[in-house]
Parts: sequence; structure tokens; C-alpha cells
Amino acid sequence: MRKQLVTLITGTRKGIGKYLVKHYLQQGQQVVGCSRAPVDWHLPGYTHFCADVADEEAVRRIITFIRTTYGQLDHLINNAGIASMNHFLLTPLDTAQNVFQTNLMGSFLFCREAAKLMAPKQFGRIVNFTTVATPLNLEGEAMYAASKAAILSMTAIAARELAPLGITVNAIGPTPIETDLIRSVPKDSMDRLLSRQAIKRFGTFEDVANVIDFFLRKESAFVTGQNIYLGGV
Amino acid sequence: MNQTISQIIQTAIDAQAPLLPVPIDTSQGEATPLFGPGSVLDSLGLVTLILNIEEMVEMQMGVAITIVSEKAMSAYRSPFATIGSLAEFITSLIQKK
Repeated sequence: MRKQLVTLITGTRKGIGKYLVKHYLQQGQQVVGCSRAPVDWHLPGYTHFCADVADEEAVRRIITFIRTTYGQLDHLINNAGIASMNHFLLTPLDTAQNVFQTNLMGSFLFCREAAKLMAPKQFGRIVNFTTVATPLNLEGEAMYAASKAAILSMTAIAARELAPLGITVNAIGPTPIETDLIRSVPKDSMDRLLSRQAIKRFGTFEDVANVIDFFLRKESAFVTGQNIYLGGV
Repeated sequence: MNQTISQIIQTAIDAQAPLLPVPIDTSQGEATPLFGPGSVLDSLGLVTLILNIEEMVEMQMGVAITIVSEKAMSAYRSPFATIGSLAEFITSLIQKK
């Protein structure tokens, strides 16, 4: 019988991340998570770290904790991300840098450090987050979509480099879900976006978890370097 | 500290042996080539070796280091050339912590 699975999820304070914590705890996994701010909830089997995902030392501390506490890491879900809606001409450099730091560098650091812990066991599942904003070329989201496009490339190449180590790397590109991330987006913009999907509705946390479940399965060992967009985008 | 690091490198090399067509011959001691001419390690072999060493340094010495850096890759004399150069490089990383 396999030991209890250990799952690391970034960006767990609220939204999809929080949902995924509960989802994988319910499946009997040990879950470790992080967010910039502390969480106002507690669940048995869950350990939380306050960390900036783009802070290399903070990422290493989390991985060291997992190594010394569990001796293994089976799954990494790189959920942490920030969005920014700005006209291209009005996008401050700071905003662009923050978006890339959190989305791309955060995912990169966690992928790299998690894979180091997964490699000796010759098993690991990494799931990154992309977005439908990239293939839809959504106006106002140039830097956000670009940061996620970079994650798409990183996922495809990391998948090849980590394959000999038994680690798969895939990505999911959710449609808009009614979370804080899109609360500031005007309703008509959101309606236009939904109309470009094959299935014209908001996504749900369950839709996202379903695809991640597939990527994490032991039986998905032959699935790597793939990206699945929800909603038929 | 140097002796501990050399011991860690040796243990990591020993752990690598079953994965290599021919085990690394460490009879030259510190001058044993690791990567480049005269070595049996390919690039993935070197990656695995480095990961094992990083893990052992952290577990045995309580210091988390990242061996590969811009500095390591661009050094005139590659830290990955021999056991001795790698041990020396790791010592310098730990001293900076």
C-alpha cells in the first residue's frame, strides 16, 4: 500500500486554492499550502505557511518542511496568481513586474524545488495554472496573459526535462470563475468573454478540481506537457 | 567541513553507480573528473548528482544551498569539473550562508 500522499498547493487563502485544500484533504491526503497573508481557517491535516511565492528562500523553507516532516512530495499545484486589468498604454512597470514575479517566477521556483524533492522517488505530479485570456487575446490583460503564456512554455519544456525523473508537468487554463480575481471586471466585458467560450457559463471550482484530479492520478503517468482549457476555448 | 562535503559527494557518487553504464572511478580522489572530458556522467546524471548532494548537505549540515547559479555556470574553471572543485565550490556556498 502506498504511503499517504502529500500535496502542496500555493495560494490557498481563498478561492480555488482553499477549495482544493478541502478537496484533497477529503481524499485523505496531507496538504501543505501557502499564501501571502495568514488564513482565518484551520483544517486537520493542513499546514499553512505565510510566504511570497516569488521569494526563493521562503519557497525553500516550505520544501524543507515537507522533506523533514513527510520525506516526500507527490503533488504540486501552482495555483497562486495575480491578475491585472489595465489598458496596455496605462500599465505601470511595477504592475507588470509584480504579475510576472508572482505568476511566472513563483510557479518556476515551486516547480524547481518541488521537482528536486520528487526526483529521488521517481514520482511526481505538477500542475500549473494558465488562462483562457492567452488564447482569447483578451484586451486589458496583456501582461497577465503574457505571464501565463510563459507558464505554458515552461510547462511544456519542464515536462520534457523532468520526464526521465518520473515527474509529469501539466497545466489547466480555467475560464472565469466567480472569485475575487474577476470581481473588478465590468459585467459587459465578462459577458463578451463568456460568449467566446464553447460552453457559455462561468467555470466552477469543481470543474477545475476535475481536471487536476485527472493530471494527479497515478494512472496519468503517460500524460505530460499538456494544457487543458476549460469551457471549450 | 571539507571532509564532510567530500564524504557527501562520495556518497552521492556511490548512489549514482547503479544508474551508470560504468561507475565513476574515484581512484584519482579529488582530481576525479565529474563532468566533461573523461567523465561517464551525462547531463541528467550530473543533475541527479547535484540534487542528491544538495539534499544531503541540507539533511546533514542543516544548510539549504542551491549549487547551480549564474556564477557556477559562468566560472572560468567549472565547479563541476572534478570532485575537488565541486567540494571547494560547495564549501564557499556554505560559508556565505
